[in-house]
Amino acid sequence: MSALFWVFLAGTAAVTFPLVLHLIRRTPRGRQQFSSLMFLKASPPRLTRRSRLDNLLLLLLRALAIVLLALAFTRPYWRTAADISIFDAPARRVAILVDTSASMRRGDLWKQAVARVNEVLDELEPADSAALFTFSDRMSQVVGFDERSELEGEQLRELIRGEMARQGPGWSDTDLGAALTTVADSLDVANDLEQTGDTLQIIVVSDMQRGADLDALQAYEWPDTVRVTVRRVELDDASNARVTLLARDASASQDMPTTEAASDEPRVRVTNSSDSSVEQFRVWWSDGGGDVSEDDAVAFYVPPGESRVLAVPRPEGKLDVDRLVLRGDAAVFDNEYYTAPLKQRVVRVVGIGADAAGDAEGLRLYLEEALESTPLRQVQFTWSKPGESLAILQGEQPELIVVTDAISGEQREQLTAYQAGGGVILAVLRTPETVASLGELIGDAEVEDAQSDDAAATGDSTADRRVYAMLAEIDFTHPLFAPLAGARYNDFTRIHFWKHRRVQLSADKSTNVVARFDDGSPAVWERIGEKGKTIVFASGWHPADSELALSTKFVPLLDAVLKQCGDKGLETTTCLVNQPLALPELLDDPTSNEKGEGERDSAPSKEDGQRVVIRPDGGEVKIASDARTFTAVDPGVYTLKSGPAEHAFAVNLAARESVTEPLALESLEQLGVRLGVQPSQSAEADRLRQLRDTELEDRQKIWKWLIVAALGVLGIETCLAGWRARSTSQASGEAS
Amino acid sequence: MSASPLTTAASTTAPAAAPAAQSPRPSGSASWISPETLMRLKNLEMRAKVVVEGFMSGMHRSPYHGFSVEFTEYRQYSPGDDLRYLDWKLFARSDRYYIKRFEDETNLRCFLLVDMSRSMGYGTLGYDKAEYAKTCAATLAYFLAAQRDGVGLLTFDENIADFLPARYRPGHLHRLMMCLERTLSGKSTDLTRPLERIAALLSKRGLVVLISDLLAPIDALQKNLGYLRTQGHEVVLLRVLDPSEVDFTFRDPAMFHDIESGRNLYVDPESVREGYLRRFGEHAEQIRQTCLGLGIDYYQLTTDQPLEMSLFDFLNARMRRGRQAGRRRASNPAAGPGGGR
Repeated sequence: MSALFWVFLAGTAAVTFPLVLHLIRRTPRGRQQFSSLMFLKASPPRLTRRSRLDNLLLLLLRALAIVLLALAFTRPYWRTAADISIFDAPARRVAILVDTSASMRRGDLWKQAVARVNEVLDELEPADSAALFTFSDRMSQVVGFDERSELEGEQLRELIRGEMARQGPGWSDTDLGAALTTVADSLDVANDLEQTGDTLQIIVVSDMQRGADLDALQAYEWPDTVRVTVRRVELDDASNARVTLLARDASASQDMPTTEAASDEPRVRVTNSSDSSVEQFRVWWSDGGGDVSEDDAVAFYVPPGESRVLAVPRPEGKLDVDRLVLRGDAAVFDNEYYTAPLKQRVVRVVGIGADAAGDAEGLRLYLEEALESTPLRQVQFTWSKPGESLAILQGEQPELIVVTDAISGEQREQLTAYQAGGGVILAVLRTPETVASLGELIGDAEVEDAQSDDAAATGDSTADRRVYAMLAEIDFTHPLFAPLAGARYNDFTRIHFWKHRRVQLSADKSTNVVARFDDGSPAVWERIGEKGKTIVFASGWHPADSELALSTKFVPLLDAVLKQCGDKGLETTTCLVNQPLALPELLDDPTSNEKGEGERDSAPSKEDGQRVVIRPDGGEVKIASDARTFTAVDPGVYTLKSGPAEHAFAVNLAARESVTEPLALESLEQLGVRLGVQPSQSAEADRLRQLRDTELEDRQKIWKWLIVAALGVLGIETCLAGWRARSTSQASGEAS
Repeated sequence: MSASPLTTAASTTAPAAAPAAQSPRPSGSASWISPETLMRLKNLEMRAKVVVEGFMSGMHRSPYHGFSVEFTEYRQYSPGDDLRYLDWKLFARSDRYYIKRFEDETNLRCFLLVDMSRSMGYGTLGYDKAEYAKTCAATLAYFLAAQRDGVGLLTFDENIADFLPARYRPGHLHRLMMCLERTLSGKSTDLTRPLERIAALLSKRGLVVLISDLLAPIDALQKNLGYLRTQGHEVVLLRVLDPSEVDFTFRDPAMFHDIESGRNLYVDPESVREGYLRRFGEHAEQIRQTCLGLGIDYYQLTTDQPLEMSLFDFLNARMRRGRQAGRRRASNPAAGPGGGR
């Protein structure tokens, strides 16, 4: 005999209540009017015990009726022999997905995560299978479902525990969407293939930060059979702030043709999370060695949920500071922002021309003034007369050679060799003779008309001033003019060219005209050699030729020329963790070809040792000669050594990893993720058992018979009570 | 009459402010009409008449002797004074002229404040406290009217029900009786408002008689009574109680129903009697102390006592007032060489 709802058996207790009350309680009999109760206090009813029970049989019949009713409510049934075993229910397949992003470095989150994984493992039942995955910006499988065939039950759990102990949080950002879709797909596909009928469950152990990327879920149709539950780890104090150096160069270069100087005050943004409990922060520059005093710190007041931008000047005379340090925030994982340290670069410029130093009518004075040294650049000028042998080219190659006058044949040969070696020549066609003397260096050029030069020779300067040329058809996509492409700076009509050489250029792939005069003749062009190049100006910048030297465009233009020469270094000096950084090509290495490769899997080869990346901790990573990218897994300042040249680059955390406010689980549901817990095998077995019991009870319907019995008992009780009452009244009538 | 009430020695309930020189309160009420008998008379005026006339017939001395023309003080004669008031005997003794001064003869203004709250509707003797209080008030009114003194009436519960100014004119007593005969309507007892009202209404000094069971917190009572006293009124407090309230003679446990608030309380009298009597006694003692401190005559009447007792208490208080006033005048240094009457 069994029952569906044993709890209704408690209804039999109702038998005792009237009995106990009858025996014990004596209710007040009378009611007394009284003028005022202000002097009275309530006194509890006195308890008395009346031991006499009359009509015991009636009492028993009534109690029996109540018991029968209570039994009927329990819905009893006769159990059949066949029982449902736990193995009739489907087992669970549980994928544990552990967050190893940088935000898990906060406080004791990782310890909590390990504890949560252990809890999950403890809750598993013997038939359940489990796998362990970790995810940050990419997902990796630590223990897969395949190992289930060899390991069962406790062994599998121990394996997962051991593997979990070896894991730790990295420095990457969180791509929760991709991780969920990948694991859901693998679970669904594996279940379809194996046809086991298991219930599929993903358990995410994460801090569920709002900065997690959920884009992958946008276009993903979540499988019906997979349920996700989240075991969130969280800190009591969720404060977090992030410091970021605003990239002035990147944003400004479009509009503002200035070069970065050490004197520029870098602007720094501090972002405070909305659930933060602190508001006061300090930011200062550091070189990592503690040499920089904290006295230079800038105080930031950032209310929770807001951000502030302030200028944080670099310390005086210190170009090697490479990181911004934020203090006041307990979550330290994003409290340092790295940037490549500034370095003064030595640029050697060789000039070939007859101008005397300080001659205001010549080209030399303006060139030297425009390319003056700055904290980030030291320019060394060496001048040779036309016709002199360029002995300086014997040693280390200069970055730029400027030709302002006609050169000798020997010099032309030397320059040709220099250009073939990758050198850059800036040729200024001051006179028609210069064009002729440069020959092939400036392309297949022919002076078309020397009329304006003749006018100059006659000294008719007033006639000159009425006839001038302007620049037109400027190619602002070319690096020379790109800094001046902004709408505020691209007006060249105020620069008058009194004289210029009208040159006829033959169509040639190696000759690229960057700007023309308004009469259609080339004004600026470049002749690209195999490695080096020659940039040609068809007019000089000195007052006799033009107003170029006096215009604001002159310095940026020469800066752009200077950027064309020398070692190009890295295209960008800042990248994110796990983001490939493009490496400069090895010019000297004829065997280089194009293959992407990273830090971890760079195979040693003959060319190893040519390029080395020095990690922030001092370790060296050799870069394969054919590698074109480098991927860093830790934040910090790295140095790429390529021959004698050294280039520093900074690796930082992704900004969204600092968005540590908790993510609402509803947003997952909105993206189609099915949240919920799959029942365990035993719970499922219980459910099946309950279903079968309900069915049995529904067939037997014993409760109806119990109700009938209760009604019968009540009928007997009524008859008995009536008979007793009649006999009592008769007896009292006879007595009277 | 051999057994005069004034010469009977024993007293059942001693008045609170009774000085040593006070006349003892008569205990034997055999010669007086019992309250039960009296309450069978439906007409309130008739009841009052029965009480007052029976009371008068049993007295040896006029109870209001000395109320009228009273000597107050001597003053040295100055030219222009009326020679009719010159005390020639004193002149004979002392060879100095003195003028005898007398109090103005005025009618007494008496205000009867009768509590008509629901708690007054309680009674265990076949009639309730309100009936007793009304008869008491009617008796006093009848008595004072017989003396041609002005009588006013104010009935109250938590609000003021009826107000009649103190007057002596034909028909006034009848109106007063009609007001008194109205039934109970109020709920709780609030002494503050009637006392404030009376204090505001009485401009001339008079006599205020408060008839109530005083089953209410007495916090405000002291303040308002004190205010009346400072205005110069004489105050007499007649507290009317049922004997069961004083002795708490109930036996069986019952659900006690507060007829004022409607609150129910299960009470086992045997277990709470002691606490009730103690708290009731403390409350009564507080009232007594308050009255003593303010110079108010306080008498407690149970509804089984004859109505004449109330009249006796009232007159007793009046006489004592007269004697105290006389002693004050005697001890006044400005009273002159006669040193009193």
